Amino acid sequence: MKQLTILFKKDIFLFWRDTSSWIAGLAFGVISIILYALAIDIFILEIQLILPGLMWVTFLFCGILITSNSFENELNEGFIDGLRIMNVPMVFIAISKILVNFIFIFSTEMVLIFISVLFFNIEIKSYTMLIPISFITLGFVSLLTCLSPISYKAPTGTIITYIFGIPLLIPLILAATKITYSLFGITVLENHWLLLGILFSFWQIIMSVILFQFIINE
Amino acid sequence: MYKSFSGQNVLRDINFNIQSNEKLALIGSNGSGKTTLLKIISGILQPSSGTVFYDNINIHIPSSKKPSIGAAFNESMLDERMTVMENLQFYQSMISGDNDSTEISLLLKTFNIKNLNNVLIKNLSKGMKQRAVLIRALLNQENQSLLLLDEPSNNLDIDAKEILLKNVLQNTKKTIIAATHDIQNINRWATSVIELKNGRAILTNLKN
Repeated sequence: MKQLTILFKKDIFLFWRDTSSWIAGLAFGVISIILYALAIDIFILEIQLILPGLMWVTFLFCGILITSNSFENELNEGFIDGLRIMNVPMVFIAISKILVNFIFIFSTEMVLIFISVLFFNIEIKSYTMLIPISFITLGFVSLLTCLSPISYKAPTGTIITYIFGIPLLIPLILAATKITYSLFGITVLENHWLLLGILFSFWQIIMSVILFQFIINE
Repeated sequence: MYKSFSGQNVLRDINFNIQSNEKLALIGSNGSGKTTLLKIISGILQPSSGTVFYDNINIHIPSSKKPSIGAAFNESMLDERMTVMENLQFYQSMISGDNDSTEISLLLKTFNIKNLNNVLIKNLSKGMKQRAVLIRALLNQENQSLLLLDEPSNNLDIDAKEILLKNVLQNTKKTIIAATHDIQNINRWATSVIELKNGRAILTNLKN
């Protein structure tokens, strides 16, 4: 566990120092929300009906931007091989990166939700919904993080992440959208969406960590 | 042991033993399989067939208790976004769990890069980076039982080559396997030599 803590400290420190990926993700999200606000006439269209869906598509692409280069530096100079020689379990490397990406992507989501509240004149009615939203974020961040070495290793780059990642995330995004309706008090949440979101996130986390070991060894 | 990539045999029928504290030089032309052999011994690569035993422990079984190995390969294994000191402290704490930088300071002094400890790896010259790579490989010397070096004198100037030779290759009391093209200096440190030719190994004991 000590090795995991040291890895996590290093990853979070470097993520903060190397500002390029999280600033790119945050800037993309903020610009998207501002564009929606400018492009959609809220007097003609009831924005509440489409906003949660738009937000989750934005979160997804923010996530791809932030996670796509997660292992670029580690794979470039054989850093992961250095850890392998020291018998550091590959699971630790995956968990550390997932946690760091989760912290930054969830923070980005919170900023974007706050901006949406300002721009679209809506209110957060049920703060408890942020708990399942955080868990769903952890689910999709796990998958995107563990697929990111493919985008480094494959000649087609980041496109591979889109092709593999997005179809696997559809049920999660659907559930997340329904939960976000409830966050803003637009509709009452039906329990099966909550269950789908939580179960699917759990499955994504487990599957991603297992999958990572095969991807990194290829 | 055999190793092939995409159906092409890189190593064939490799079979040798080395004793504790023995110093083995791996020689051979480019592409003869030296790096592949070192990476298999380190556990980074899996052999296509056969295995590597260390004290009767198969190092390719994930659950096995592996020896403490120091390795310096062509890839630096350093994070380019961190400084020399940050990298070395990271590795030190990963290996031993403590942040004691006495050993790091000593090694930085030995390799004459103490003044560069706050420089990012990506800003170092190739020679200075190679010194940092060697220091990383030498961390935790007390508990380290095997040192694997792949052309360790690459990019080093004459002074640094002498430091490597005197402080690491000649005077270290541990098992060393080093791939090298520096044939002239092999007699100064190696106890035996393996020449790789067309993926096969020819062992020569220099003591005899």
